[in-house]
Amino acid sequence: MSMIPIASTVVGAGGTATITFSNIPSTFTHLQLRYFCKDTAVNSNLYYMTATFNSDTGSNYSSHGLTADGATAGSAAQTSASSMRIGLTAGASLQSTSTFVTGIVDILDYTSTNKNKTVRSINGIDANGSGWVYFLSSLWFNSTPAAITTITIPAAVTNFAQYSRFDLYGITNSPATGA
Amino acid sequence: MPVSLASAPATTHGAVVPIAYSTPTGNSFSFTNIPQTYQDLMVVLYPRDTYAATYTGISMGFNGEFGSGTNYSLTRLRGDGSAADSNRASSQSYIPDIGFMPGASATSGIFGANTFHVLNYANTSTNKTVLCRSASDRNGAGWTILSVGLWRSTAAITSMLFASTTAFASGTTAALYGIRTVGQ
Repeated sequence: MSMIPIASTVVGAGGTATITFSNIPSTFTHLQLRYFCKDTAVNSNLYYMTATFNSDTGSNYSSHGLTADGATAGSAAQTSASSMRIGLTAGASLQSTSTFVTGIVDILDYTSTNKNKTVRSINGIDANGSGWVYFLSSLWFNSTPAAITTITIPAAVTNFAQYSRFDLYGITNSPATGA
Repeated sequence: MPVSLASAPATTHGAVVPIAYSTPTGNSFSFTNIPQTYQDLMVVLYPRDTYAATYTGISMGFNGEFGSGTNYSLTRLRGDGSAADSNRASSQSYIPDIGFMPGASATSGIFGANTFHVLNYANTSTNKTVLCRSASDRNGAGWTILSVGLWRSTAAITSMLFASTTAFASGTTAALYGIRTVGQ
């Protein structure tokens, strides 16, 4: 098995409202999205990070998750939603402008045209006295399963802040050349 | 002549590149002189402690800052087979118990599975966050844990230290990987 970088987006000084990976090649077996981000909203609030596949904004997403805020462990779910939860993010004031949310999203068998897409995510931020971790599974269950060719991730409130970055990888079943 | 994985592009030789490997047996071990040429770091640690308990924690620090200052903190989610809970540590001199491992009182041959992810480790404008997944089952006991730790420093990470309670037991393995992005 090999992991190959497909695309990368780094947010500049002006911020970015939406991250989009399009024309995702169908030559891999699985996908992994690794991100490091924060919203420019001037508060310390928490917001769900969401994603959609192939521009599908129908009621075709669900998720179940485990959350922890340093004091309490909990669980949350969504059903028949118009976008998929992939984690939590925070406003720019949480901890400091220099502390970001970290997350890893695994999308298995993304090219299948006869399986709905199950997504596994881990995500968290510690802000020295606040913060959370989030572990969840999500589902894209459109009526006709399709290969994922586009992933769209909007900022939760305003824009993704400078230094936010999103890196998409493809995972193959065969060894990398020379590996 | 063998091709160096680190010198070949990620698109042909893969994004995950082994940097270092260790079989520690002392109280702590470090990965040092970490190259600054990757996007993320990943550590896969499979440890056991010689401490006389069924399990104990793994502590962590960066760039030689361990045991002084107050620049570390942690938030944790834990499940032990009967309950889930969460706790936190703030303003610490190292990241305490970010991962866990069986101690000497656990059935022999059982180790803990820990994976640490540090994204954007070389960026000098952002503080450093580490995500850790930790798990160990002991047939009637055990845990699964997701932790996030913070080092309030914008310095690029050049070394990592992992510490046990007493000593890492024989059989402990630790591997450091660099994860490359497009163009690396």
